[in-house]
Amino acid sequence: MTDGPLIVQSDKTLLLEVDHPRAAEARRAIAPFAELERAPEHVHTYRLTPLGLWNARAAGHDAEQVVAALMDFSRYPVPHPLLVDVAETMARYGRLQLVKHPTHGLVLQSLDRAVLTEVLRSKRTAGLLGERIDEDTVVVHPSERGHLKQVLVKLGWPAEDLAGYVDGEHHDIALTPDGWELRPYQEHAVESFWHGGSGVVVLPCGAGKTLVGAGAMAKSSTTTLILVTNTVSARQWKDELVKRTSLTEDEIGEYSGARKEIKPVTIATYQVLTTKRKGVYTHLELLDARDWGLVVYDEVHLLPAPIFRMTADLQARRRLGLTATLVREDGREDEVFSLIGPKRFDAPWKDIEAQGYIAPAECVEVRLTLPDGERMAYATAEPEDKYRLAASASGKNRVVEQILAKHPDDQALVIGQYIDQLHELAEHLDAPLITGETTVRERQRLFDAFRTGEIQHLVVSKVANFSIDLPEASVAIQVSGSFGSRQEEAQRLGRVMRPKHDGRTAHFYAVVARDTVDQDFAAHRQRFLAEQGYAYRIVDAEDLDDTLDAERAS
Amino acid sequence: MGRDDPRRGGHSPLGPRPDAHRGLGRAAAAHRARRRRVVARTLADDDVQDVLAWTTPRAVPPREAVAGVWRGAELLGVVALGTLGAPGAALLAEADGGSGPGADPVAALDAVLPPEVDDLLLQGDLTGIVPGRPTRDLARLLDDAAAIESRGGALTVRFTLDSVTRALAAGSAGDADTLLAALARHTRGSVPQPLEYLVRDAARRFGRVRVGAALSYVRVDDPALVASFLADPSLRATGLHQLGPTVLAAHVSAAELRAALASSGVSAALEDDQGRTVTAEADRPRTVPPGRRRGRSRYGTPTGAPASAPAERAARAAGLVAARAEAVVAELRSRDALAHADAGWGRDGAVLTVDRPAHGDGAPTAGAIPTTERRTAAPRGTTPHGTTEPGDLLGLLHDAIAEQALVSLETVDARGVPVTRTVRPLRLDGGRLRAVDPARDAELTVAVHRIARVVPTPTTPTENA
Repeated sequence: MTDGPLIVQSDKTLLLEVDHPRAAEARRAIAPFAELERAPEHVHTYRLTPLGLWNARAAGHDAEQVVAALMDFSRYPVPHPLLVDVAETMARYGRLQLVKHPTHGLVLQSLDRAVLTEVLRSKRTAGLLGERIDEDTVVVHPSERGHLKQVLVKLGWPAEDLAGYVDGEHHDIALTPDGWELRPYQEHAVESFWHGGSGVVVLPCGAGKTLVGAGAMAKSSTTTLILVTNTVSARQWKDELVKRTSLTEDEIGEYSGARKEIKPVTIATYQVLTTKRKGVYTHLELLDARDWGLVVYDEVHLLPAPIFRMTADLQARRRLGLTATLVREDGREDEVFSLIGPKRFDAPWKDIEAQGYIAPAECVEVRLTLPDGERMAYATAEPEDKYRLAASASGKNRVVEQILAKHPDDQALVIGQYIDQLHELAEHLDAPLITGETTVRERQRLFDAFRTGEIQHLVVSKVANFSIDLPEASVAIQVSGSFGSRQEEAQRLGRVMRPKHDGRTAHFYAVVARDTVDQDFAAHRQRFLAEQGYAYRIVDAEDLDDTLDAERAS
Repeated sequence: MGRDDPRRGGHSPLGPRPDAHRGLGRAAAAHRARRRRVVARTLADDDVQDVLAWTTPRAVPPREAVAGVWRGAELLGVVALGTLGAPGAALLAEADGGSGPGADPVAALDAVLPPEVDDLLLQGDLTGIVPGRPTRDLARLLDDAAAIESRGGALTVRFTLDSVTRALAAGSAGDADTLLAALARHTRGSVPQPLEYLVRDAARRFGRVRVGAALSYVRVDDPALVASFLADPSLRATGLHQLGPTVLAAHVSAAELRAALASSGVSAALEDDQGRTVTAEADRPRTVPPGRRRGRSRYGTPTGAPASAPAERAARAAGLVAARAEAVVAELRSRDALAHADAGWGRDGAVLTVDRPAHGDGAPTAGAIPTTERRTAAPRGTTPHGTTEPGDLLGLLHDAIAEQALVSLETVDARGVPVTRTVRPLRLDGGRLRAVDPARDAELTVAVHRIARVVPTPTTPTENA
């Protein structure tokens, strides 16, 4: 029995005591194969999952390494069945390999005949595989490469894709580091991705994922297709690429609802790709419009299902996924694994924050007691209306005003879900409002004004959640949110987490109606943020003034 | 199999220490020692069984018993993976008369268990982790106040509103301050603010809905009346206590309470669970505490009781003139006589009226006056055969539901034919009566308008004979 920092539970969670002298060492040892589940102050919880173990296997780690890491750092004897399970799970990856055969093209090769037989007999692989060349080799229809990988993950025998990639059309791209350079972790991420072939890079919001994308493009120096969530995001990618790389504006095309340009580097939105007309995806030809050497997926955790299907046909091209979190609300993490690739780089938020690249954020939940009249209305409301009633409680306006008064010099964002409420708030605060109805041009104008400090307060609806860049927002106030989704929280915190030029602390406030479903949803958020390692406090609206003043004084 | 069975003369293979059977003699001790050695050397319980059968063919313990002992020994760590563990070796050494640290099973067991940890790491996400085996004290605290998330080398728990509320409700953790103090005692740093808030929030929410037991209640419109009831010494025995500005609860039945109120000069209307005024046979105790029901015995002749002192006092209190009280008594007597004369329903009828004076402890008898008076003023459908009056009928059914008593129910079936059955009413609601027919062990639902007559059935018929 050693005095290690790690406790291995038989339910496959690993508890890492962060204050332990060997904690950092242990973290490095387990990070490749264990998913960080939560990272509160004292003890971080990692989980061993098949996907995580396969990710590690794909990155070149083997079961012995995993077992050794667990045994070395564990404080108590490691449960034996868990070690056996780790070894067995990891051994499943790579028993089947997708390789290029000199005469037959793409083939599935097995190192274990029984596995191949099992897979061949499965109904799911019917139609994906062709003729059996010998005992250990089966022809794969090239068009089904992605689909086959998906099926194999589902069957529990993930295949290692060694078939390589097409080179793609060459196009010179270079980074132009004048006065800036890739941060060490960004460089590390680019390297890891490139050596792995295809895969996902996980970095928190504000950690410069766009630059990792640019770095990968420079490395590849081929024509690139970039898929992003929306038009605003597309414009930002374009600006950033023009600024950071040798690419000029003429070389970058935008393929969206408004414009349909195809250039050596093309930025397309998910929406335009998934647009259907008469049951047919009309913009699919974009994927074959050029001989793309690299496909970049921004915000992989939001990738819509049809894109997965299209990606299944793009398996011969290098794919880079960028995201802040691998967690998908729809639980399709395995599709990301099989179609885009294993995780190639991951850094816990807190670590990057400690390195000073992200402003530390402080989270405060303000609990508002509803007046009797509203409580009665809430109590008698239909279940489906309850959240709306609680979330748009009238008292929230005053609380928001109070909070803003506490931060007279800061740029503040007020974020909400219900348009009526936001209209009212905007009027109340005399601040401009951005909703889904605001035109792109107007949005951009307001964002620019916000950026320059011309506008101090901005009220935004859900549209602001994804991929907009508001570097100077150091205060965010959330008045209503979408049912406490984890992914949305990550986005919202990302809004205020961008590096501040003077290193100030960012503040995140959530205004919540007491004793309502609003509070229950807030509990999810609290859990998420605390799990991410953020200081989280709960304050009563009545005590708001005192608490914040006391804080300022200290 | 933990005990020896003297009748069979066999002993459990890993049974109690030898000094427990000092009287068994040397041969037996040697025999036991041989058995122990057998156990110690044998690897699997199947082998143990075979060896035991070979060495003591006439007293072979049953196979399941050996397996059970073996399993127990494995759980205790005496044997593990088919071999003897350190505690097992110590046990054996001690049994063979050895001494010193090698022969102390308690110390050996202690050494095998990981050390107890009295250290709780509390985190901002409302989880807590004990990095090891918690002390008994800490384990109890966490069992009470948190939900266990995972066990193993460490214990991880999560505090939720439910778990904290549960702890507060169970009372074992005390109030919010005690609970927080207990958590603070076990944790190295301070209790995280969100957790403290959670505990206080749970404590705040906890007392909001309360439940208590009461047999009856008083509702008034005037809060001043409430104060006067609470101040009235003659009502003290009813256990009246205030629930709200205009609501009081009592520990006595509605009838007794009503009677007690009447004796202090307040005539109260009786209402059902819908808030409607009930004009039933309120003179009969509406709910009889089970203890008292048994105590009710065969009092003297029914005719003597109504004139008892409490009844008169009650009559005075109700502001009735003496003459009127006399009239009431006369009426009662005539009814009682009638009841006894009645052949078919007499016994049941007697329950209604005779039983009342039999109470004799004042309050319920006093309660008889107003109803009887009403009867005198307007004698209606109430007969000694129970009742056919719809209003009274409902009252009787309510009584029966409250007492879980049997009633004889006469209903009119679809063809207009009266049917009588003895049932136990369960619920009266929305114009329907739900009742159980014990004879057929079936539940039935009857529309109230189909009920023609309700006759209470005495619990023990001989009681009133």
